[in-house]
Amino acid sequence: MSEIKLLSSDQATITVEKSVAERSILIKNMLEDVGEVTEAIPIPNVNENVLKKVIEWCEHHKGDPPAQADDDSDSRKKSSDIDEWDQKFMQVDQEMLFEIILAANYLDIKPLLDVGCKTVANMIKGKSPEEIRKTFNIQNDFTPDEEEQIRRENEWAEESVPRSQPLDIDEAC
Amino acid sequence: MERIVRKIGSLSFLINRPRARGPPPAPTAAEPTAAPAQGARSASTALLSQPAPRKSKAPVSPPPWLPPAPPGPPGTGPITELPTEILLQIFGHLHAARDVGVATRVCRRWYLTALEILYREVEIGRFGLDSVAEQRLFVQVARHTFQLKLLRNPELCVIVKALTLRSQSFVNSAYVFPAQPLTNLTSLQELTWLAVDLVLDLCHSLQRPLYGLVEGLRLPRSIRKLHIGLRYYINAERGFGRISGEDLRGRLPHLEEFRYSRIRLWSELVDKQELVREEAQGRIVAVDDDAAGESDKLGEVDKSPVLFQAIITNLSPLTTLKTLTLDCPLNPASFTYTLTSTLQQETRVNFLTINSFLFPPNSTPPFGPLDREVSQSALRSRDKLLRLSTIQLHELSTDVSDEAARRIATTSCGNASDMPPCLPNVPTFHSRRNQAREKLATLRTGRFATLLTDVIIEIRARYPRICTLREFVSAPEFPGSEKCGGRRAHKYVTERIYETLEDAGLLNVACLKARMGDGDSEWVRVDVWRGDTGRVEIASLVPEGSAKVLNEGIKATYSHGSVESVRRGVLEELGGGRWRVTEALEL
Repeated sequence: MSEIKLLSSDQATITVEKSVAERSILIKNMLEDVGEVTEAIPIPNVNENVLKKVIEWCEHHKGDPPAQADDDSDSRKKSSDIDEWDQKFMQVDQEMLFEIILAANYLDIKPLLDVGCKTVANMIKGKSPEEIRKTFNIQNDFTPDEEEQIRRENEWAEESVPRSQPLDIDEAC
Repeated sequence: MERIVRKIGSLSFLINRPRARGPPPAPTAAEPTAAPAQGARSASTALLSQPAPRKSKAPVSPPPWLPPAPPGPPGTGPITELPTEILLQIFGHLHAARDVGVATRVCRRWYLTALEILYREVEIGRFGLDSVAEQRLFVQVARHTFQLKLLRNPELCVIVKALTLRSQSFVNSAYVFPAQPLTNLTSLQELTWLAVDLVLDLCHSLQRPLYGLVEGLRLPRSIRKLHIGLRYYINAERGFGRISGEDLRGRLPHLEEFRYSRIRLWSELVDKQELVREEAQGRIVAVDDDAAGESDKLGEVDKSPVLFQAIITNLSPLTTLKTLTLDCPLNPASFTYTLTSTLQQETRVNFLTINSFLFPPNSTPPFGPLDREVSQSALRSRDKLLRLSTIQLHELSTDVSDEAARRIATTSCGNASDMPPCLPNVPTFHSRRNQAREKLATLRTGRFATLLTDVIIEIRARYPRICTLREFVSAPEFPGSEKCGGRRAHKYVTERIYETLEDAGLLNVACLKARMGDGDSEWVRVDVWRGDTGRVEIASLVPEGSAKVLNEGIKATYSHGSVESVRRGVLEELGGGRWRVTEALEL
């Protein structure tokens, strides 16, 4: 079981199983390009805390089947359900949450990125704009007039029933 | 500020909007951080003209934004630092359009980003709006958002991948009927059109009710799924069969799935538990009797068994079709195909005569694809035939088939000298036509056969259903009583469905669903699997007590056009339209 070393942005060295680190497509490709490495691989965008967290996730998911071919529409339908372990894993403060998302994006770990994005999406669902702003500490840069204007423009979305169910009669057959 | 208000008011600033990416303060860090893992969203990010994904392996300085905890100074939550494509991915996980709609109102950056998601799937109008306020909302949305904003804004048009247009009543149909051709929606893959229709009815005078849909709207060629739900004014549903094949061909070159629904009134759903349940799940379409308005003028739902054949005939040019869901009745009578006019009947007789001349009995192939060398003269003659009017083509086909019949008779008759040397004059024909008929006898066999081939190709192109050797006029007789839903009827229908698809040339269809009986009863689903060696398996579940995976069903295997075996048994789905008989109950 070969191991490799990763060097976080704050110069901490973390040793990790190669197969675990290869959950990151970025690292996997890098190792394929470079071959054997003895020195620590610098991960300049990710600090030690976040990197450890990401590795924790990778270790728990190392046995997962490789991500299936990207099917945009399908992955979206399946969304919102996050498995229990991941839910717990994502119970961190927002600062950490978004750092994990950015790290997953940078390291190219699609399943982790998805879990992160779903977690944020779940925080948005069902809220009003004002609640969302409060939740995420976002400045409202609209004037009341503008906001009203936009509300009217996109009224069709807010008026409609949950986004159309897949029209399918399989079960009826 | 006034300037901004104006801009937002017209949505036009989408065109020259600022390329909002991560917040400006930290450009160097935000971009490389976001580099990989954007494959899935590449389409949307392209809209924002993001820089192409870079493999950023080179060391980059740590993210300089110091993430404040959410309660920090106002407006500095860490989410505000996310690069746009990650924000897009987050919004992509919002299912309800409502949530995406709300997201547009949070702040400027979210507005620009969420629009990309919001306009991917557009749904205008829905059935069963009750209050006056809701009605007003419907009108506003249909007229302002859809007709004025969306359809006239090319930037928004290219985002739309799925469009659903529904109306709840005659009057409302007019609002959702697009004022502009839909051709601008160049990314559109799925169009769902459910309308109790008044506007289309105007097209009825053209004898082509759907003509407006296909021709007038100029549907974008990118469509892969088309779902049409109709309930015409005064029984015009029957006109469905009149969408012309030529109109469809070429206009929808990628169509893979076609679904036809009949819009019903709630009162028609009474006692039809299954339908009510489906409706509750949003699977079929029905309208409140009151909401439909003038519901007394709605025609009866067309329960004519001919509908199935009419639809299949009209879809036959769309050979890319893979899935068909037709809300129309299927019963043994559906397969007793009757030719609609004398002209068609005569054309079929001509076809059979010509065919028996070109391919004498017992010769192989029975009736394979017609080949014709592609030479200049061949193209010229094809071109001429193409220009013939229906009547002209009919006359020509009659003349050449008469001549073919004469030649067949001459060769089969022992004493050729007893036979007329050319076609005799027909008093009712114009003299010039009679002359032309006479001249046919002078053609050498080779040239005559070429002419026949050209004629047959043209007839085939114009009337695909006529040109089959299968005796569809008298489809195999239904074994037993006309009572539908029984197993024998089911088996019969399953086999005939397959033959109908074959006749129509829809050779890519892997799944077809329609309704057994008079059209309000259970669905029947037929799966077709085509092997490499001319072997075809068709399988269908017996609807009663269907439990999806293990089921009692019917399977037939065709090899080279003949039914090899027909079985009733327990079927197991193997996936990809293949089924296995796990337990044969009846051979």
